[in-house]
Amino acid sequence: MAPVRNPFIAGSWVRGENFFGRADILRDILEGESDSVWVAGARRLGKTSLLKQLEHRVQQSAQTPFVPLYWDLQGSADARGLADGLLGSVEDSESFRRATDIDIEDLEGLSVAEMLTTLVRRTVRSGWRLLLLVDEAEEFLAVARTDTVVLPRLRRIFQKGPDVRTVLTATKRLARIDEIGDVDTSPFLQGFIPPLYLTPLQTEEARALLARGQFSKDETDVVLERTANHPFLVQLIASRLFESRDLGATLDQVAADEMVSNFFSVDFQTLDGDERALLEQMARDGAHRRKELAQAVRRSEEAIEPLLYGLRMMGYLTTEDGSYRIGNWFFERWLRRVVTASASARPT
Amino acid sequence: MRLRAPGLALLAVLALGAPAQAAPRDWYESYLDARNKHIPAKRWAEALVALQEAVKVKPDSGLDQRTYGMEFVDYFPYFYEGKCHLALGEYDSAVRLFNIEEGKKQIQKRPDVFRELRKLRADAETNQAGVDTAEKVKRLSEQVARLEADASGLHKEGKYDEALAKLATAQGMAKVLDQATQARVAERTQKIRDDKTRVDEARTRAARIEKAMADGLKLLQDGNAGEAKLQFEAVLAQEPSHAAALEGRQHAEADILASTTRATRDALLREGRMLYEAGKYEEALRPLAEAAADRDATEAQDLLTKARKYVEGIQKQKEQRARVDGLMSEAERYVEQRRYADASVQLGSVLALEPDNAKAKERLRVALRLIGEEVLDRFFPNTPPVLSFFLPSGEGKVIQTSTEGQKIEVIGVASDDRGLSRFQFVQDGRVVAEQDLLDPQTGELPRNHPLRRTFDLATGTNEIKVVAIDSLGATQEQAFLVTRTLLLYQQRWFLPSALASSAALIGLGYAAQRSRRRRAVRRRFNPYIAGAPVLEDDMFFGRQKLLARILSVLHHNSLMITGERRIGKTTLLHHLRKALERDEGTEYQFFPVSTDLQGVPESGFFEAVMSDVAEQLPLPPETRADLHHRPGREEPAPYDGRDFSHDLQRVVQDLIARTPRKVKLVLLIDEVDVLNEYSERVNQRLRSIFMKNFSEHLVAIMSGVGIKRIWKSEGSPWYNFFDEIELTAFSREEAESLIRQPVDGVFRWSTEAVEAILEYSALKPYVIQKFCIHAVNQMLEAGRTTITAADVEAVRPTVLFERPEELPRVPETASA
Repeated sequence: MAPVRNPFIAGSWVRGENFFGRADILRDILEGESDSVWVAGARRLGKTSLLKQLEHRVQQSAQTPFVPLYWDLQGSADARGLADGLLGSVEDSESFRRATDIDIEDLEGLSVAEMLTTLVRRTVRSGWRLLLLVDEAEEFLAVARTDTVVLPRLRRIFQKGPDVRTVLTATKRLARIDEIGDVDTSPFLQGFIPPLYLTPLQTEEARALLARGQFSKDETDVVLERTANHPFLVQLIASRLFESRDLGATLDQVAADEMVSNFFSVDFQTLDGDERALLEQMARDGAHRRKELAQAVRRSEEAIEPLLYGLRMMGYLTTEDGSYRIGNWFFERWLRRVVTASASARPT
Repeated sequence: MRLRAPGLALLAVLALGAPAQAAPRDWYESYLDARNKHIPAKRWAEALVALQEAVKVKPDSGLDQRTYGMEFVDYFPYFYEGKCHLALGEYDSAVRLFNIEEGKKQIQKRPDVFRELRKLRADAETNQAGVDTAEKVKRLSEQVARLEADASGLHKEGKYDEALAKLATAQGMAKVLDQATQARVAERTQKIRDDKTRVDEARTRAARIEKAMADGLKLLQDGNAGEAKLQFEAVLAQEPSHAAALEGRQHAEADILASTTRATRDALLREGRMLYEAGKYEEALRPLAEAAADRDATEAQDLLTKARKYVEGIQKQKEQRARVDGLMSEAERYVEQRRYADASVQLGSVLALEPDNAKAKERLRVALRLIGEEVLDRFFPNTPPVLSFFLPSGEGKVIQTSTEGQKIEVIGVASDDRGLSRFQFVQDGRVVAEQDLLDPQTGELPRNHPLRRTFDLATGTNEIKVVAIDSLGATQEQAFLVTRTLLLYQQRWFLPSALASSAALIGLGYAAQRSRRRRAVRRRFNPYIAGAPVLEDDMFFGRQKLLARILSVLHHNSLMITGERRIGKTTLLHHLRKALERDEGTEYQFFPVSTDLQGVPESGFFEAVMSDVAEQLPLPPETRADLHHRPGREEPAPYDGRDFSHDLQRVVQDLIARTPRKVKLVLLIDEVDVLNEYSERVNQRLRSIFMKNFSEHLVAIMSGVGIKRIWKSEGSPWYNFFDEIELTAFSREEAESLIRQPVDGVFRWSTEAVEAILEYSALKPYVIQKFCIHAVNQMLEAGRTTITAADVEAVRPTVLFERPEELPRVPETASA
């Protein structure tokens, strides 16, 4: 007998029929005016999937002016690694090679900047615009520490106006890049700021995703409420619930899951000290108004306003009647445990 | 005779020598050269020469054709010729040769090769269609250029509407062409439209001035100085330095001053103010114009200016409304006459006047779409959708199949050049379901869409039909004739005969069991396994649910199976592999590859995995030739992540070509704790493989004690793409099955013995097996066939001694 296939996907990137929502941000990127876009989002919020969906959408569209190229920077470490990764991306995308009439041999041995210039030139010559989809852009931080020359060169290519539209995805950590390196050159993120924030899903989008599991309305409502539509948590819980059909047990299991704790822990480390302090404050004392938060972390209200905005956009916190509280139940539970543990570990 | 001998000898020498130089090579020499040397080396032209030589000698294809000695090969020369032509971009020839090979009716007997032929032929046909398309596109480009040139000439002649109509047609055509052409046509259209707007406005203004001047002069002559002044004011509002208007106004004002007193003018101001304040701007004009004849009457002049502006504004709006209405009705008339280009010119003019006119925008979109469709129809006539089915598979107008199931699942894919509108599912002549394919978010129709539907089957023959309908109503259908046969137990005669057989079997079974027990004691039967992975299906206990769970998520998810040592991870991977190999009849086809990382150094990681892939999958020589991985060869550069990515991509391509089902290459990687010792970079490289597009066909199941989760890099943790499953001890029921079932029908377990093992083992499978091995041996020593609690107690110290760290601490009372 054929096995019943679980329709949920936890961990791997998705696109096409498995991709839900994000219509606004997709439209902003593809139809907006800006040719330099930074999509900032927390870990596992769907940044890679967003890029894969952009690539997929453009490849499926008969009307688009773009040819997409997905470039994953992870593990690149230096200029040579960037070049290898870019070459691998071209190798991976047959449709790109076909549209631009480019061979791997044309690129072998080039530096990353030369390679990128060649790709842009060949794309434009073939009557297209390059949609460069750069994933794991935090890797530029590692590159900047080892090589001060390559990033200004790449920046010039990224911002080559209408010939190329560059979409970077990274956590907020990428903002630190302009603190590294040469002060004489223009900031790397100039033109990419302010970022577009990748938020959790809209409720209707998350509901549409959950409909795949044919859960009851009550179950769906609880999952939405507990996850605050965080796509990874929704997929993970839905996948486990699909197997167990026991919502209570699934929620407990996920809340206690070491993998989930590790995810929160790694994600939390991508935030700045002030951002972490604000969240810890909320985990300690529950919901707060802005004024109270500012007092608690000894900052002015104006100073914490942009931090609160960023945290809210990425789903770390939410607002209700002017009060801020932690974004979702699982994160709150984890953070409260962390805060309690560090308080009890402190010497009295 | 003597004379003839040297002549014969000479002839003999010639006869021996001549064939050595001129005789054609054997067919197989040429054929094998082409197949095994030239084609793998991509020397297509040389391969074609060799194949043609072979065909000259041996024109007919065949299976197991004898070459030299006792070597036999399949002979498909036209297939390989087709392959060469395809690689050379000679698509027509490729299709022709593939058809010849199919016509020889031999290749069909080798399903794998025949499948490849069909795939390659489809590729060639698609590419040929692309060539045809390119020619059409070229013609289209020429037409667009011609239309642009025409428009440019008309523009110079001031025939703006005609020029715009030409460009509207060009715009419709350019939709099929590249972005640069589209942008160029749009830019030119905008330029002409701007010129047209400017000229239209100047013309309207001149006409308005001319009319107002004529009216003003006439009114002045008629002694109606107040009205005349208003007309001159109107001219001056358009053109403040109009000399005749300035003079006319002066005359009119002089006439007014001569014919009125200050008191009259004050009264006129009051009347004008009252009317102005009441919002009767048009009526206020006349009294205010007369009151303002006096240069000192600033209030009257102010009010007059304001009132006139209002009136002019209203008038302008009225005129614009009338003009827009006229243009819109003209546009509609053109649409009815299918003159879409002319209609788009009118609608463009509307939008120049009212940029936010929603109706005009919508109608213009329609007009441009219709122009585009007309062009498309002319150059690329609509074709019905194309349907391909994976399940049930087959060819022809009607695919026939039979099943014992109560349902049948139909899986396939539909595609269409204009977009698919909907699917219809028909069973026994009745539409049982329809699927609307319009994407509500984008409003677009998909060009490709998967098809999937399960039909309930009646016993006997079922007629099923799937119909795909495109945006222009063209349809394509595929019929299936499905015969449902009954299972053995569903037949009428089954029950009575089964009862009779059962009675006989019970008697035989009892006798057989007694004999089996005696034999088992004699042979010291002991089926339990501890230490080595459990490879036999009948000894694999307690993980079936987990296996089913893994199988249910594997198509979309990579998994990390963690658990303590000897908990059964390797055993699970082994049985997972078997389950994947057996997984037939679903939409997925899994290709499992097992790898053990124990002892693999970081530098050899990617090569080690690829070696297993290349060894365990039956890859054809041409695929192997494309791989960067070369077993046993010394390469100057080490085999790295990029090589691995390249090779996996190539292997995946090969697997996809083998089956119409969705392909998943499953890497089953054991002892993954080794990755903890590797640098983050190698781990990140591994993750980056799973970010590639081909990784949609790739899943990894890794198993190990645990993954190090300390993460310092800026990027995402490499292990993020896994869902994790922890392998824990057995449940009580699973543990009891493991104890009892392997010896079921041979030996007996006393309840107490089973309970003792459950308690002492903490339900860990390895410890259970150890207890069982020793307890059974203990029983056999005593010549019994029942295992007792005393046997378990007797072996406990031995088990404890062998693996003390794996035994739980047992309370003293437990052993009492």
